[in-house]
Amino acid sequence: MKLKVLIVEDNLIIQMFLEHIIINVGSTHVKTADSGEDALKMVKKYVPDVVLLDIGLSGEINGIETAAILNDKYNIPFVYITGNSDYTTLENAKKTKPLHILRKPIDEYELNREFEIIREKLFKAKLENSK
Amino acid sequence: MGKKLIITSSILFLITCVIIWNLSVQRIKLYHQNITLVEEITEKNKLKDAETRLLELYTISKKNVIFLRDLVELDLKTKIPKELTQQKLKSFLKIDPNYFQARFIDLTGMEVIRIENKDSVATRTPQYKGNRGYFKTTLNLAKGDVYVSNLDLNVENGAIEVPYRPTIRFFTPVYIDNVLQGIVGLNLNAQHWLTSFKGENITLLNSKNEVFYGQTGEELYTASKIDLSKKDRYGNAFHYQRAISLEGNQQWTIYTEPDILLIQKQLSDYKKSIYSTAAVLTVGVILFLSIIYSLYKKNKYIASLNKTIKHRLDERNTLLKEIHHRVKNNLQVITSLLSLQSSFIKDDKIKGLFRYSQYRINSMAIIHEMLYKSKDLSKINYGDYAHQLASTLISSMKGANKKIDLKVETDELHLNLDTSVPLGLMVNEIITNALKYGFKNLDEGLISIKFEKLKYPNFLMRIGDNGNGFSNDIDFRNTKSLGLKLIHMLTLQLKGNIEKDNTISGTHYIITFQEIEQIS
Repeated sequence: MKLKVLIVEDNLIIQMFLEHIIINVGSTHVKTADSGEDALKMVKKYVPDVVLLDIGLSGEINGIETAAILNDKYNIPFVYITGNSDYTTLENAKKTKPLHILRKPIDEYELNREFEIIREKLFKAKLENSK
Repeated sequence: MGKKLIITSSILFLITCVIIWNLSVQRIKLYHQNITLVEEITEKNKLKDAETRLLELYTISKKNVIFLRDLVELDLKTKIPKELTQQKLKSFLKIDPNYFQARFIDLTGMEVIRIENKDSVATRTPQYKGNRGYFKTTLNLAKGDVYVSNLDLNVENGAIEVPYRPTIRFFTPVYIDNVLQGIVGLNLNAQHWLTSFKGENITLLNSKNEVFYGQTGEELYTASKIDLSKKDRYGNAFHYQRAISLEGNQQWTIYTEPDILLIQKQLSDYKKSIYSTAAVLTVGVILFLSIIYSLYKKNKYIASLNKTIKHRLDERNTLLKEIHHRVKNNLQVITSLLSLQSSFIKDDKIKGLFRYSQYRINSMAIIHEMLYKSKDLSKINYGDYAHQLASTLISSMKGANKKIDLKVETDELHLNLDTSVPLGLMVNEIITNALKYGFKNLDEGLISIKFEKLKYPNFLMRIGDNGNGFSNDIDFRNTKSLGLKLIHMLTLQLKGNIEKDNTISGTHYIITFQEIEQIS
């Protein structure tokens, strides 16, 4: 079974890079959105297994606000992608209980490694839920 | 606002002027009153002095008449020849020039003894005086009483004596053993002592209100035409008068005038000084108001200037923030492009070169991100920066599951962009080297960074790892490694010096550098 991933990132180059790598990882299905609003619309139909979410999204709602809605309404696990964010932003982000945090800049090697960790975490969470 | 201010200050100015000038006029009035009062007191004292002198003369004259009466009575009693009595009276007149005539008139009205002063031009022959008022009145007086005549002109042989001689007659009856014998009297030459008023500006009126002495231009020996109760427009009298009563026998009046010229001179001097003071005050108020006004205008101008400056500063800050933000975003795009590109490369060595380029770019991106979040948009907290850079590198290169510790020690250290970028690149090179070679095959270790402030603009950085280290034989300044070359060149750019500290195990550098002045 393929892992359904939704990438929410407003920088299209970074979005493209993430999509390229995650598709290459294998046994994944990837869709992309470039704003929080778009992502919330897509989540209803697509129902991803995990959402990769940029914290500093431009648009009406930022990454943390989007994450809160994902948590409350859909209970979909999510991973933050963050640039060199300051301490308070990071603390606020951690309060929303993300599955994992990815730091930008990220290279192919690092992303591959981090994605395996995410896959493991998701697997563990599923096991716990099924118990 | 400006119009309102001008109206308000004009009203204030008018009120101040009214107060100043009103006070001035009041002060002048008061001064006028005071000098008039002083003058009045002076003049009244003068009149009082004159009265005292008159009364003294009156008293003495009465005593003299009594003395002469006693003398005549004694002579009549002892039947001394008339010539001797005449001689005595003559001697008396000689010693007192105030009297010009001494007489003894018998009951029939004939002059028995008549002594004239030497300057008298009247005839020496005895005259009949039985019809004169003073004779009749004195005969009816009780013993010891003295008749005092009105002050008038001397009359001889039924006509007024020329030159005019203002005269007062003192007469008293003569008794021998209570039998009336006649009357004895003295003629007082009033002119003689009236001249003692000379220079005192005193006018004397007799009981018939006739002028007997004066300098006011009134005709002598006629009824006075002056209204003594007349007052000027300030209510000040034109004349000061004093009534003199000679024991009720005669009512005289002496009066004088205030020295109007003196008063007016003093008053005009005073007016001049008061008005000039008031004028100076008025000019001062105008100056004061104009200074306040110019200050107000200046202040207003400065306030508006401040507003503009503040506005521009805000604008500049917004722009700067925007630029730093965009620079950071663009740098991130570059790293993403490099990542994307490298994902198509199979050779791990070339992939590695791409990675190190990304780290170098990121070391600059962090600076721009921190700048737009900083307060003054020109300096960043370098301790925070070094910490963030190093921890990003550690987690990128070693992953979260390996234990590489990081220790950053610094005081408050803020550096500008021109210093931060080369120094950041240098820190980036040293840490990537440490992670790549120093901790090669090691899962634990410590990276330490310490900044010290030397004499401005010099700083010192100790940076190193406790990993494998490299041989002291290798000259780190002269090597083919791009990283080490960069470190060396960047030190030069920062006008500093780099030394390898071989006393501690691992790789440690001691780097001095200067804060580069920004030219902007």
